[in-house]
Amino acid sequence: MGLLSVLIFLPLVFGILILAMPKSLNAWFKYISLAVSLVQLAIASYMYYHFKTGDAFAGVNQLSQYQWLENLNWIRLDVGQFGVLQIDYLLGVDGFSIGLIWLSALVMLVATLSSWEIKTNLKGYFALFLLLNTAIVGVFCALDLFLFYIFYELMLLPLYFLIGMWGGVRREYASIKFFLYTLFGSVFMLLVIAGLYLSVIDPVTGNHTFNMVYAMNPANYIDGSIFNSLSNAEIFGFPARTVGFIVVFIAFAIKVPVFPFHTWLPDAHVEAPTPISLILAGILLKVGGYGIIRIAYGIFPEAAMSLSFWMGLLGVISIIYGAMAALAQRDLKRLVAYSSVSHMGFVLLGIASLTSEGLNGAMMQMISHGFLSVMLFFIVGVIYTRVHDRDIYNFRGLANKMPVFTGFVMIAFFASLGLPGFSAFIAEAFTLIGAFSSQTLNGLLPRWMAMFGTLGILLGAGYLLWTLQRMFFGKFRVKKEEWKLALTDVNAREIMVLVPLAAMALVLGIMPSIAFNVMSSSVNQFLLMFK
Amino acid sequence: MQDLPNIQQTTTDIINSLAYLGSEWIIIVGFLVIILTDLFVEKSKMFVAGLAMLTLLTSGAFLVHDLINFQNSELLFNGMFVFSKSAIQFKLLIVAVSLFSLVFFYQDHRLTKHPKGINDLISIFLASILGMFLLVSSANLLMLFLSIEMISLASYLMVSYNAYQKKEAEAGMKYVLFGAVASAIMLYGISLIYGFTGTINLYGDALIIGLSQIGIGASALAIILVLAGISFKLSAVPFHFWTPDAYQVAPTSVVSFLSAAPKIAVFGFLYYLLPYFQIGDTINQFILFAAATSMILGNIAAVFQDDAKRMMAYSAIGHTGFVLMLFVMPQALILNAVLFYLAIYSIANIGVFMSLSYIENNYAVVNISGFKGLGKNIPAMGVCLVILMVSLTGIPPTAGFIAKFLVFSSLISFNSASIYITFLLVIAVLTTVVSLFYYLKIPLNFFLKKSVGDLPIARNSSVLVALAILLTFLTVLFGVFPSLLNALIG
Repeated sequence: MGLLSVLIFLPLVFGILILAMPKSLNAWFKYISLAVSLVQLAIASYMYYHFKTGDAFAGVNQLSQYQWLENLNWIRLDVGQFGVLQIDYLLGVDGFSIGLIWLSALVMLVATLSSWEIKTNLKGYFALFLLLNTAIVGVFCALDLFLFYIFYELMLLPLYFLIGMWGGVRREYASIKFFLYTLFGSVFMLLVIAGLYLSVIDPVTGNHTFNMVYAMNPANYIDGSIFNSLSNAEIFGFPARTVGFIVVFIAFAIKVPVFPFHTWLPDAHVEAPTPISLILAGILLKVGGYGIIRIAYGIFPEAAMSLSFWMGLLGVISIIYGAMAALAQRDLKRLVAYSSVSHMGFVLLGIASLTSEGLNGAMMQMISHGFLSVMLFFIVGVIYTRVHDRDIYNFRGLANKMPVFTGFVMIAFFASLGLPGFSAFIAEAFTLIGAFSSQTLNGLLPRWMAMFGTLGILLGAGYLLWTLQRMFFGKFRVKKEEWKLALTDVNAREIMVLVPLAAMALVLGIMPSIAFNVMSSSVNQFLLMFK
Repeated sequence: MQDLPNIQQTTTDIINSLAYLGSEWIIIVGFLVIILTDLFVEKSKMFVAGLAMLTLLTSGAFLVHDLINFQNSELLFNGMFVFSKSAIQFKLLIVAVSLFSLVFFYQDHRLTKHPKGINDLISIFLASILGMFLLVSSANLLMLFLSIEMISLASYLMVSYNAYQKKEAEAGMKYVLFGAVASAIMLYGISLIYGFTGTINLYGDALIIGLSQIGIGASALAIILVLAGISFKLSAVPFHFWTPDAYQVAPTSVVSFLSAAPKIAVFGFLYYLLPYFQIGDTINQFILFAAATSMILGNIAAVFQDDAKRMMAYSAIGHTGFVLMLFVMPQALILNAVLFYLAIYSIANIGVFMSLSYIENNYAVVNISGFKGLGKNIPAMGVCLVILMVSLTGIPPTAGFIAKFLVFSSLISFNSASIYITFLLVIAVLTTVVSLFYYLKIPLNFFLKKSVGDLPIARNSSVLVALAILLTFLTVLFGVFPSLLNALIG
């Protein structure tokens, strides 16, 4: 039993324990959940601290270079004529996943603290919450496509219920929309996974394998199989590998979400209870980015390269479109949701540039956005739990009444709009440099994409500063008289959540090397596949 | 001109064949004893239940014994009956489903409160199982007709077992009329085949040679007519019309049995039939069409249903289409996937019907919109329903996902270049997404909506709760460790 298994299954075990406990111990559930998250964060920090860097530990397409590797035979299913279905319980971490695992642990901790606001049916809530936790960590650790897919889908059901049972007014609509969108993408992806399985063989045992690391090596493909790049197989008249890439890309693009697959996001974010919004924005969107890098780009590199222009274009459209949509919102939570679309566009732009700067920037943006979007949604949650309203125009001059809170809001807003000194600045600068230099380095993205991307930062400053001005500055005035009493400043628990998030954004902004160190060799190794 | 077998040979063959039929004999004996018991013994309800259980278990034991000891396939009774490993596997699956159904019958209030008692139903039930055994082992088209009729007659009686009201009688009548027409069509097809080829034996070359010699039009017509009769029992589009009505009004336990067992038998026969009919493209085109339309129509129509059992009827049509996809492949490639899918489907299906029956027994609601807020009262049942529904949709970590994946990967590996296969796969994927929408309607009403008034505490049928939990557990267990199930059915 390795460290990663403990990290993954610890929440599941305690989730089952909570299910088995009587309802009279209701008050204990949140402390159990908190303890689980703390232990997880401790393990994740330990792993991050002991993570070996350097070219010998780059990972990506070298299985032996992954760290904390766990490999067990899991399923050996005799399927008659086709031989044996070989599915391994294969876990491992490299530079792409370690940062996201640590981020997940932190966000889950914050979300647990934020779950104090949940008052009904605590048993169900925390059981589902811990199941979700298991699935999320599992997704980042799994190196077997089948295992990955199981964790990936396992996230959906708890989320459906968490949004649907504890969400806002239109929760039923939002939860089913979220579920259907994601399933739509992922079932098609399942076909590609099946195709990959039938194309790739394990060089050690000679069996077909779901191992995604082996799938990154063209030498492991069977001659004439559908996804062998030399066999020129076609699906509906298009090259099979291009179709495979597009299908996998769409599955993850829905998750990111990339324009035009983003329409589930505002609904899901707005209707979800605050802790679930935090998880959605902080981690789930990153699952999309992670999947694009690891699976879509990693397994279909040449197809990805040929379509890079379109990927970059979708990234730029997401940046601009998300920012413009955010400008038009009255609902603060919707605004933050659309700002996520905009910020995640940078991730796609960075990946599409296929330069070292761009990829490092994209990874950094995922981690940075992880902290900042969580902070933003938490801020929305602070207002919402007090007065149950989020309309920007119903508030004015909150700074007079809630000075400490406004301080955190300003940090979050300025950090999000890319002020130098905060993590988002580093991340966005790197992606833009990557996109800008792409034309000369590999000729994939034209320069104007970087320029339009920069426009997104400007628009970002627009909607964030304008919101700050409308809601927090000026004379204190709110819509209803009773709100004046309800709007108290942040309490100790909320400060406990906000401080580490703000600190992380600042620390990563000043010392980005903390994150870059662990991922740079993996990024370089990754780029070698595109040479 | 082939030599006609003389009487002596025939008789010897029959006598030698008798010994192979252990599992069938047991059921015949059980059937007769139950009829006699019902006639002459008063208050024999529990005795009959025990007897039926014993019959099924013994029959299952014979099958297991056969499965372990025989590897080759043999023709019995002058080529009427085939004794093969795959047939035994299908029969074992039928016995397993029947065991669950038998317990279920005794928990269904609509059956147990029947004025004439439940014993008659049990004898019909055993007769239908015998029919299914014979169907799976049919090696001759006449045998096919007889066994399908045997199953059909039993099914008509079971569906209409408590048809006192107009609506129920109507559905029963519909079922009978459709069934009679389908049988007639099939019989016509069989007679055409006999006319064209001079044989009704499936094995050997005579049928294949005969059919390939008479031209595509005639052979296609004959094959399609026979398949129409089979499709009726599978409730594949366009022979599905009876299904929703019959499911809606029949007692839930009966529906649960009929949605699983006869299907397994018919697929078992189709599996045997496949190589003899796969001449030309007729059967593949027919199956392609039936599979695609069943998936589309079944899954889309299910979205609009409010009656839970009606919804499950359309879902059954969709699943039939899904399994049918496999039959476009050669026989040698599909056995594992078919058995696995049918086993998993049956487990989830019976579990769902048990839950529905439990709800009906306790709250007298059959409409999905009537399930509002039930999750608060019966959370265990709610969780079971969610997991079973997820398995029917095919989402991990349930066994339904593994089953679905097996079907996908077999099709891709068979011929990923074929445009038809790709087309089928795309339909299968899209309808899977659609299916999520209606499967989730039950959890939606259970947990997401608030109940209208106060609901009483559920008191009845705790056996059903235990069984539903067991089936749900199996669904998850086989989802995480599918090799276990494969070891069982293999």
